[in-house]
Amino acid sequence: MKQQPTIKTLTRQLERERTARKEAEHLLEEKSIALFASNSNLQQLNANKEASLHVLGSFAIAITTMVDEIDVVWYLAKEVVAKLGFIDCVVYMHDADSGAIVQTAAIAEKNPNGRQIVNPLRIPLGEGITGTVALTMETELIHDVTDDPRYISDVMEGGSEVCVPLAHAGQLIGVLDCEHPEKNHFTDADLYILKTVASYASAKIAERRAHSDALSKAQALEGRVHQLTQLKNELEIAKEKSEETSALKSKFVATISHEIRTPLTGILGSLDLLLDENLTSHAKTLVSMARSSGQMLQTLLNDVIDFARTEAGHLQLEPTIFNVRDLLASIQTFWHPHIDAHDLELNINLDFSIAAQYWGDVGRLRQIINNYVSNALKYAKSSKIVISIKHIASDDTNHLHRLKFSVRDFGPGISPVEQEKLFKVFSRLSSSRHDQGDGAGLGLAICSQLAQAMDGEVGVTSTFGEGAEFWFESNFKMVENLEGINRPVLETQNLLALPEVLGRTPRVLVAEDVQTNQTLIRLTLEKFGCNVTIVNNGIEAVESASKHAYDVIFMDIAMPVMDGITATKRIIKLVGHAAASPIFALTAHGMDEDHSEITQAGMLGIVTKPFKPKDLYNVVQQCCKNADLSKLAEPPKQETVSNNTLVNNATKSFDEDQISALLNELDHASKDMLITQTIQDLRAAHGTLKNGLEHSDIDVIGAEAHKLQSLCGTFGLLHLQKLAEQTNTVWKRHHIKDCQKYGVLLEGSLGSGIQALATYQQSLNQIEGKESNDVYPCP
Amino acid sequence: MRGLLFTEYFDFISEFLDADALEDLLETMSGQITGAYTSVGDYSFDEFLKIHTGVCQALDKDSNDLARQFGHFLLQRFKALYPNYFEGVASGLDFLEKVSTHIHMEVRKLYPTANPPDIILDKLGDKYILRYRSHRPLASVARGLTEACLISFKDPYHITSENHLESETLFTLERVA
Repeated sequence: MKQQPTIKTLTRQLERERTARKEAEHLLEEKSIALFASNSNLQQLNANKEASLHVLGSFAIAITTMVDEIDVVWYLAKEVVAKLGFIDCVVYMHDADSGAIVQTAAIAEKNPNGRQIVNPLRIPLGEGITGTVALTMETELIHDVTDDPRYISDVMEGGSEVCVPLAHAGQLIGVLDCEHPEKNHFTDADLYILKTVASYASAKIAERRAHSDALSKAQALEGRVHQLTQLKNELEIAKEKSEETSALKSKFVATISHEIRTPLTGILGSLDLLLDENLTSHAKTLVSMARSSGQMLQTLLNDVIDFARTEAGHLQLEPTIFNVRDLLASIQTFWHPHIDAHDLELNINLDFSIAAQYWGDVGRLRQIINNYVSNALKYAKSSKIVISIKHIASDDTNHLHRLKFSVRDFGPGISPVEQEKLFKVFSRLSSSRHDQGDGAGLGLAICSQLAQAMDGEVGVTSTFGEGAEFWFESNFKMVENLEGINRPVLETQNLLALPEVLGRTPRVLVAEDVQTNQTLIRLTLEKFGCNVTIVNNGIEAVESASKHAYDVIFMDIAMPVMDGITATKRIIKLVGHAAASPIFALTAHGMDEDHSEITQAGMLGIVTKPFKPKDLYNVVQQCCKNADLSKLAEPPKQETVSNNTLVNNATKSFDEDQISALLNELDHASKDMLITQTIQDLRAAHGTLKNGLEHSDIDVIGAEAHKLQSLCGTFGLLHLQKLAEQTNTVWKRHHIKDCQKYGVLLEGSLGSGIQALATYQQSLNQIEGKESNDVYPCP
Repeated sequence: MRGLLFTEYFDFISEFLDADALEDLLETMSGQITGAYTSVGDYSFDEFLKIHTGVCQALDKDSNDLARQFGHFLLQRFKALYPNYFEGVASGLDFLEKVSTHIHMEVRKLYPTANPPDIILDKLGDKYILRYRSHRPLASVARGLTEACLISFKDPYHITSENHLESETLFTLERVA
């Protein structure tokens, strides 16, 4: 049982409780005061932070529009550092040239007004506190500058200092320096905020500098581009001039060579004829010597002309279908006497897979091979020369064969140094090869140019002392073996007299002003059995051609009184295309640009002087054969109603084989329908043509002729096709009268065409056992 | 030492010692101890030790037994004073874990001068080792608190041994057979 506490105990207890309460109240009071103080501190801190944030924000916005870096540093000092509560601030800028930092912006005593700085100091890098910061680019916070031996007193004595670098991407821009008269004034927070504003300012200044750098670089570049453009223009002008000069030079060379070649032709021809006379053996030797010298000169001239021509960019390929074996045979024949004379052998290697026919400029190809053979002849020791033709690659989709033509000799060979020079202009071998060499050194350069023109390549493979192999390779298109098409006549046997071949005597007209040439041609043609008429100029040629019919006319281009081109045009105009004799140009003009003029005038081809007798022989023979064939194929008279000689009688009127081939694959109904449709088209064309003729509307006639040309061509109506083509041609040339004449003819002939088709249709139906009920009235 | 422990201790001994005897005892220590205590104050541990030693002599009780009993008393008081510390705690072991990691942490935050003991609970097979580490030799209070805690949460564990090392005291907790 517990006793009740005594009064004394209660009093003691109470006293203890009171003491405890007072102690508790005292503790509470202390806590409250501490709490209030820390709360006030927090508020102050918040307010400072807000003010700082505001200053930083304004700074960030303001620098976006600043252009000049001096604006940035003054803003940094006056609007940023000052407003962040610093009472002193100097911004130094780095002067790279002098290796120092210079006071550029400031506040307080250093800056009495505007942007003025009192006594702006220049501090070398590494000197004092600011100079050290500039050098190391490390911040410095010095609590007591009197302890720091580096301190340089400016406007303030003693105290503390904080200094941060202005730098960007490792490049010093300047220094931001703040001082305070009290020691230990600056805190890490001050350092932090100064670093922040310094980095804003540095980034901006760096950006401005990069910008102006880029700007000046762009300007420099623009200037350079301008200079280059000017230079390019000057070069272009110079290039044009030089090209002009070069073309002139080439033209000059070609012309002079031509001028030399013409009399040379005369000399050579005369020598040839002279050899046929009964000469003493001494005279014969002399003539032979003169002849071979002349031929050498001729080869040289040909080289020069060829080269000038390709130099001037006038080289034009004349591709035809050719047979590689024929080509080789003719080359072999050509070189036979030379090979024999040198006591050599000429072997030919031909790949088995070489096709019968290719498409290409066989003349140029022959020129390359001949050039190689002629070189080989010069250097080959008494052994052999091998011509090889290899099929080295195929492109089946395009039917292309890559062929490599090579000529191998077993002479001294060529050193690698000399191989490099070979295909260049005027290069001839020194040393052993040189001794035997002749020629202008243009041959291989020409080969190289020809190869380029044919998209091919030339080259040489040689081991010194073991001979050399010159080669040319290019792609050639294979041609289906169609006998007779475009195939050049390549007989190399002795030429039979033409009357024997043709069964009649060819009549030939020659217009030529140079007397030697006149004689030469006359003698040559008469040798072949031709009946030759010679005239001296274009006028005489026109006269003769209009009076007599010739199997062929050889027309010199450059003649006094009237030139060959004009004369040809006259003759065709006078006699008409169809009735005019075939005219061939006789020209020594090597330049290919003449070709277009010649063919436009209406000539069928060109015989180049110096001509080979065989060239003349071939032309005459071909023309006579063509004329004879035309006569045989000449259609019956009732076919055309016109007595006008403009119609080319040589053309067969209707080619049944062609239409049969066309319709071959179709069933009968389709054939029938197609022919019916064609007949209807022709009738419609007849109506249109008639209408056009009545209204003398040549455009209608011309356009209809154009349509008929292809329609008739497709269905084997060759006569109508030819007429339509002629009509269309004269319409294009705006020969109104001719167009009308041809139009009348075409309109008049349509009926027979329709008739021919209808007959063909009937025959088809008979085979099918069905009688056509359609009747096509002749228009 | 937190004033709270003093005020709770006075409440605890009022059960055994009548008010006169206590006031007499305190009077004998006058000048050596503060005597009057508030729960929000901080006082020297020496004062606590002096008072406890005096109380044990007056009651003729073993100092450790009384301290252990004070531990039991304290747990009930903590439950009354800080019920939120006990909320969501599933077992006595969980709570013991929470004392050092959570409760003493809070105490340190609120009273930067306070220096509460470390209580670490290690699992060893099917036993637990409770390590009491303090600069104050109040291991018996801790033991009382632990026992009360296990009883209070009805944990099937009891303290089977007590080892006093230089820096800490280890209690082994074993499953009740």
